Amino acid sequence: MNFKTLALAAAISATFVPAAFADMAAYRPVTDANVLNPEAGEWLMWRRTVDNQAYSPLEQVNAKNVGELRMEWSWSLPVGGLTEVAPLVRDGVMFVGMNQAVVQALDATNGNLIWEYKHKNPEWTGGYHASQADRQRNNIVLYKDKVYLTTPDAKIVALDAKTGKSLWETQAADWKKGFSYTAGAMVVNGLIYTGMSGCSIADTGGGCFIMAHDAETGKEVWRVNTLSDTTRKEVEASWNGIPPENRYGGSAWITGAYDAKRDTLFWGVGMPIPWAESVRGTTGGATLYTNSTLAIDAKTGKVKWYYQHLGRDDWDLDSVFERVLVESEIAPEAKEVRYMSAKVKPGKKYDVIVTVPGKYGTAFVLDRDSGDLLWARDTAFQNVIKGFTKDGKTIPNADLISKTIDQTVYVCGGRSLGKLWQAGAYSPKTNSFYFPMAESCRDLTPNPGEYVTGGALGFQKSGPAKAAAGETNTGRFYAFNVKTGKMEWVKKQAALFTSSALTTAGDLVFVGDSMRNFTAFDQASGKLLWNSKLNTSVSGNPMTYSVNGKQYIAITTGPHAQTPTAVAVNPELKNVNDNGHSLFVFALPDAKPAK
Amino acid sequence: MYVKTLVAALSAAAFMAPVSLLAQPTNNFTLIQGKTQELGKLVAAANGQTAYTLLTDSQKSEEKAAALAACDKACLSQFTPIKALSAKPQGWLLAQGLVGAVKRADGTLQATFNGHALYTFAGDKAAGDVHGQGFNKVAYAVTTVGKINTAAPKVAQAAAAVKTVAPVDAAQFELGKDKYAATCAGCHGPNGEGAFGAPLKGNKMIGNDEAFIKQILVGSGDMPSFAPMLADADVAAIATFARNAWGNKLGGITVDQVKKLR
Repeated sequence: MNFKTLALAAAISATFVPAAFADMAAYRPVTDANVLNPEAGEWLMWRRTVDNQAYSPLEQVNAKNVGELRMEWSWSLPVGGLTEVAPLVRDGVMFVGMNQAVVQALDATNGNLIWEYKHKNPEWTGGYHASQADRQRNNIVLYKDKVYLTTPDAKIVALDAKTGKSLWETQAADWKKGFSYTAGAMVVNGLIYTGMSGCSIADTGGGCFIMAHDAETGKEVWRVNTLSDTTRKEVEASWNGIPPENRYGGSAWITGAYDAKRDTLFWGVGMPIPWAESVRGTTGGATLYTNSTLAIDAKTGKVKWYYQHLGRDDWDLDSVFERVLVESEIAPEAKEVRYMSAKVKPGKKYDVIVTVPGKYGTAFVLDRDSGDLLWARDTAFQNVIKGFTKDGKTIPNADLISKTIDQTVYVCGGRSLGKLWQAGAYSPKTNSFYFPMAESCRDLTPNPGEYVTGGALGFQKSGPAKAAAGETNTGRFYAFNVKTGKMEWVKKQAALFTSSALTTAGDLVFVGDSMRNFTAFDQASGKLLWNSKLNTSVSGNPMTYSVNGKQYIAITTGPHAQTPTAVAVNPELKNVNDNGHSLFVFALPDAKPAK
Repeated sequence: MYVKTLVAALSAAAFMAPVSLLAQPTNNFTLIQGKTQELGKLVAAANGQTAYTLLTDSQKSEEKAAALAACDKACLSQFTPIKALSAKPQGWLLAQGLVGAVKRADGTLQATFNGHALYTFAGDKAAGDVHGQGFNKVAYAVTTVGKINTAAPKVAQAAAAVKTVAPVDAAQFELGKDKYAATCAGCHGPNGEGAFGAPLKGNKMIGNDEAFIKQILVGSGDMPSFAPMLADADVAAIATFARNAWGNKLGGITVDQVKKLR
């Protein structure tokens, strides 16, 4: 070996830890059968399964023994920014996708580094686009022998799962215009499904997209424009004469759900841009498909139906968040819900979508075949949806839509401090949905601004966040029953619940908060069963997996976007260090010592 | 022109060149965002010619009377109404809600922006010319946020001059360091690296005094207005710190500058 080769070998060993690298030999490609029905100990995508339930059948850690849970290993994340990480596990290997499109593969039993991939990002054209790179959420997914990464410069990158080497990348949209990915893909049946983000940026006029790419080649197969559909007259008519090329918004910045029986995707669409219709120029128009659930034929990209959760959004309330697929009887209790469909048949099991789609916190249960609303209820106090028509369409509160660009309105709907990307989890054991959000109100005033490259076009001033009437804080964790709409329990506190939720067959629901608590509650009663104080705000997506018969529970920590706003209501919330982005893994103590 | 001056002019042009927004996608736009050296960004006709509002159209009777006295028929003939392509004309890279049309006496549609009826000026020959600005104290450009811009055009030479960096007051910098940690670091990162908020480290945009002060006072998007929470001295201190920390060398901000913009 000459000196040059030696140096090269040394450089390689610095990247690939040789002992751990050997573990990769056992890594099995992810099949479609795995995607649709993962092994109990595995977690192959953001919410574990294509129905987005985030429910694990593991029960080694359960309501009886969770009090003994203790830290097994921890790991310092190599990049900063907001922590919205969703670790994945397959065959004893943990994959961690982070901000700036950095991915690491770790030994899931001890955190030893196997490989690292760092995407080469361009120099961003503007501040908002730069911040998108620092808020990457669940940006990876496992499929076949690859890890698919979505990047802030709007690329899909296929990595070799065993080595972390980039096999190919495809440019899904022009990042220079402002397009970016902030959420990861769903991959099944040979297609990569993604939702584009950044469509609130100055040069992106003309549409935002939900797309399918070939998983082997990266070639685009179809795209749905979330702001225009010439096959539906009401979509084009809903923009008050604004032609498609001048429409903004409709980012699909949260990963949708997949229904194999119907070969259908259910995907959320965000708000229109600019936020206020007086500035947007769409006065009176519902601006479809913003704030809608789309049912999309997974093969062709045809929109089978849509349900708009909030038309005429004047307040940046999105409606893009997780769609969760559940099978349940539907029998809403009249005193619990604001809307119940007259068509519901008692005793019949329905395939439904359960979702709290927007920042305003209203829960919707939709029929997966028809898109009909079966029931809806409020959770946090909101004043933006005034009511429902008989056939289940929402009626926006026109009194709170600014008539002029200097009219201030007081909106309780959680702009910046409501339901956000933190996803809820469903448990079939209780037929309940558990989700974190914040309850708040604030003044909003339209405020036209300049179109600057790489800058966002919200154009609305906001006052400080306030607690809703009669409340003293904003942190909320809700549990409601899918069949009845009944609120089973709710946690109210000053600290925000800042991680997604995780449910397990051990009767547990895990969630973290901004004051460093990582907590397990009993699903049925809401009783606190276990709590651990971590190093900083608990963030990202908790998950669980099993290796060699031992169950682990993983969670990340690091800053999130909401506390700076919530401090206006509860100043003590700022007493947390914003550094320290980390990964913590817990297990029961009877296990063998770590390697 | 001396060679030296030529070089200065060339580098000035490079300095002034705005970050280019992409070209408009179709010809269906009545108004577009225009860029000029002398007045910055403004509303322009689709061909890039600067759009002016005339005070002779003012809703304020005194202002209108004075304008009509100052601008006779010959003066008015220098201005041509910008024709709206439809009753709902479109603006490119402009807040669409401010773009509109008004029916003139002759039945034609004239483009408006934030209610201001718009004209082009016969003396403007090319996109970006602003020779009509302040013409007879009647014609003024309109900013992209819909305000009448009555500023005198900046002479290109002046704009080209190398910007001197204002001195940094050490005590102010230290105060700013504390205030930044308490108020700003949550979103912009303890080291200005950005998180929920934009990065400030290496961010040249915060070198624009007025824009940066206003950003702190007024906010935009998810950034709230800090005017109610911070005194002028705090705003100046924070701005000074952020512009001169982490390798930034963008100069100080004085309390007076903040006071004027509040």
